[in-house]
Amino acid sequence: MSAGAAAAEPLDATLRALSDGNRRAILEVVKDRPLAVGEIADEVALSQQTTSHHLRVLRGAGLVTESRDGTRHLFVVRTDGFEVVRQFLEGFWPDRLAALKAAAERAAKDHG
Amino acid sequence: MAEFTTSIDIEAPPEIVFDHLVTVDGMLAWMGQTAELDATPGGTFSVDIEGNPIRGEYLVVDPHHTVVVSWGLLGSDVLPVGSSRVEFRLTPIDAGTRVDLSHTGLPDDQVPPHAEGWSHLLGVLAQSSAATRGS
Repeated sequence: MSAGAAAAEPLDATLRALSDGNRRAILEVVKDRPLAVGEIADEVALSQQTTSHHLRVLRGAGLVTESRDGTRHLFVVRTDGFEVVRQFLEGFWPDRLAALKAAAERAAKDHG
Repeated sequence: MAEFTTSIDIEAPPEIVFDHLVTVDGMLAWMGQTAELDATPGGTFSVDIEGNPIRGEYLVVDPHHTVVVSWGLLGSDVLPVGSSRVEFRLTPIDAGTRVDLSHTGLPDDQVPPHAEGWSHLLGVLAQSSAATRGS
């Protein structure tokens, strides 16, 4: 159980990162090709400063990677962020089974 | 394909646990806000969990022993309807029932066909988990 809790930490960061609509919009923009901050900002109609902030959060959560093309910093979706889907589902079932346990034990008590 | 297994011991007899897998009232007591269930092989297994439309069919319904459903997220490229299976195996123990769960056919850590798929799935799951935490 404690291992599960530790594993859930980066996942929390991922889910927090994705809880923001602007960040989800940014992921959509960089899912096919690497783009510079200014290009991303134009696409999602945010300031460059705000876009930079969101990109930092997304990078911290492992959802985008940054590369360099000369002096330009380019961002693109990191496809192995896919791993978090699996991790999410692995956190999902223990929680649900705990709820099943509570519900069934309540029902068993009610039945006498 | 990835697989996930877990188990839990429940202090209730298998028939009560089984009810929670095959009846709407029982299901909603532990998972989802609305459900449409027809617990016969090939019957509908449809549960909305915090706005996530989980869709599938009952594949195996063996009273008080085994329930298997197909499991997918409507509209998802990553976990499409019918792509994965969830098996609940109920074993009588002294204290009540052991539930062994296995979820098979989960997406591997491979490059997805469309990056949009997982970012969409994670988006809805993020909202769902935030909603769950808030409640």
